[in-house]
Amino acid sequence: MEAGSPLARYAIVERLDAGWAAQLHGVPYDYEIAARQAEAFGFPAFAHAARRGRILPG
Amino acid sequence: MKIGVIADAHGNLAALEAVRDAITAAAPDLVVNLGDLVSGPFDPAGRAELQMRSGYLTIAGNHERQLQDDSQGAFDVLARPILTQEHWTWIEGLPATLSLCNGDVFACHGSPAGGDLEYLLEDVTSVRATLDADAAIRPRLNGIGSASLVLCGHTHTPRMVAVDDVLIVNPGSVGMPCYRDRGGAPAYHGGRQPAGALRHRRAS
Repeated sequence: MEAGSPLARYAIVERLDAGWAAQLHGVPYDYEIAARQAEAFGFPAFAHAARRGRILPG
Repeated sequence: MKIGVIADAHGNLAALEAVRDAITAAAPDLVVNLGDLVSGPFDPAGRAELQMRSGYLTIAGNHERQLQDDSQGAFDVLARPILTQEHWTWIEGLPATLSLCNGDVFACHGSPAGGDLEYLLEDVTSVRATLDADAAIRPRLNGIGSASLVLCGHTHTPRMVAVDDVLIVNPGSVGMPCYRDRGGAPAYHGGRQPAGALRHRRAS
């Protein structure tokens, strides 16, 4: 699984007359906070994931 | 009816705070949190607290089940000692699925029919999560009743997919944008399928 960006994700759904509307959102935040936490716990792959939204190659 | 949807926070408090602020600004009628709340390599102190006190309608993901099952998955082992008795009581009381809006909305972590580890929308046999065929998704929707909207998480892959008259929305992960799936079960999950019937709670 690879979202491809580090943005924090959420969705908004809303019932309209024609049916359900959906919006998929991404918001930036301070990725370094999360990345350094992951590194401190010994999970460099998840630090990379938090910074880049990509799986660490290799 | 406007609903905010989050899933798979995995303990990333910094990401959660950003999402909370954005959702608050959108002023939805209610917010649903689809589970995998605390287990993860990020902030061990604040993450349970923020989600417990969020006021969001929250269901259990596979990690909430695994926390209670003594899973030795690395993220569960990391999370377990930081939980207070109040956190445990909260987690133990979370339902596996929710029915909202008089049955029009069904919320789950994985899939309605397959439990909290099944991927509802994706084929992951290639390691990459590709959108599965209608015919593969359809039986996984068994159990949604008359719902026209299904909310799911677990794959950390944002999508909106229509199958017949049902819209299925996965918001993606709040704070863990990717992970490597190893043989159908995400790395570090280390758990087992839920035993017996899923607990189901009707919220409104």
